Amino acid sequence: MNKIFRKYYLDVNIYNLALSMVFGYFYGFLIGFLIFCTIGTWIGILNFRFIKNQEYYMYQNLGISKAKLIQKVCIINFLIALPFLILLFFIK
Amino acid sequence: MNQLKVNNARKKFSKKLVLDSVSLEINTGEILSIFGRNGSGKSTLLKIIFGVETADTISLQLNGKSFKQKEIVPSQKIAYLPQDNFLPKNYTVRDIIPLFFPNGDDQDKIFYSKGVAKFENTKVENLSMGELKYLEILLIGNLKHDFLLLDEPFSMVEPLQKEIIKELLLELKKSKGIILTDHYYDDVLSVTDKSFLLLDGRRVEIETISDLEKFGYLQKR
Repeated sequence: MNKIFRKYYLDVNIYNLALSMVFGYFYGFLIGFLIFCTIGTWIGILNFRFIKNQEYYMYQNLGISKAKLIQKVCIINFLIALPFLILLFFIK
Repeated sequence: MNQLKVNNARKKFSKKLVLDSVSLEINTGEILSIFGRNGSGKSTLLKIIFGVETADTISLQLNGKSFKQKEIVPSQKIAYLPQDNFLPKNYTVRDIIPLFFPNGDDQDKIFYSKGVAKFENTKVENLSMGELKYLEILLIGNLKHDFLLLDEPFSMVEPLQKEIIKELLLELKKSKGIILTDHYYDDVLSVTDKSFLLLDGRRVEIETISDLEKFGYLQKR
């Protein structure tokens, strides 16, 4: 993960993490974790758009489109979730 | 020499036709300026050329080769300075430079640029408007892109800082083609090679200040 993408990933997931921790506190670790990897990611992206939308121009000037950034964040978070989802499937 | 051609850029927002088949051509080594009243479509045209605003119709060519709007950002041939700050506000200048230039030599070029040492430890949110615009142009101007699109680079900038920005633009012009829009027509005309006015969505050629008066952009003296 290069420096510039790492910044975007952290900016998006800081909101995501906060939201997931709240859910995790009330509904358990697994739910919190699933939120982090699914809907929380989208909420983090929307929040970034709401608060730091102008920063997308920085990424675009560096050759990274908005779609590419979003796609990468979603893929990484999904890959993080995947082993746990498989584990959950077998436990059930 | 590199050449960028934009043909028949057309954009309609609901019922308003903002751009009506606007075409332009720019080579590296040139500065082209676009004038127009607020809402005339200057910023929209720049965003379309940068590929972040879709046009209803457009044809783009770089050195004679056609390309699509969605290919512009990944190609890193065109850089764009928006009207508002696009740098992370809570970062210092010293933290931002490595984000744009991972290589140490490239970073040094920015750190040793005129005036940067004075504010390198300052957070972006604490820079003056002039320092901020200068830094933004310096950063995108030193990327490898062949063309720069600058939306209001002189806006709210103090006179002394404007001179530094103009000096920088003339330096960047040696290796890049620059398209700029701004209402500070004296500053713009002092650095530009060719100009046009956007009037009712169409392109009108401008050569002197009196042309700006003639077409109603400035009040007649």
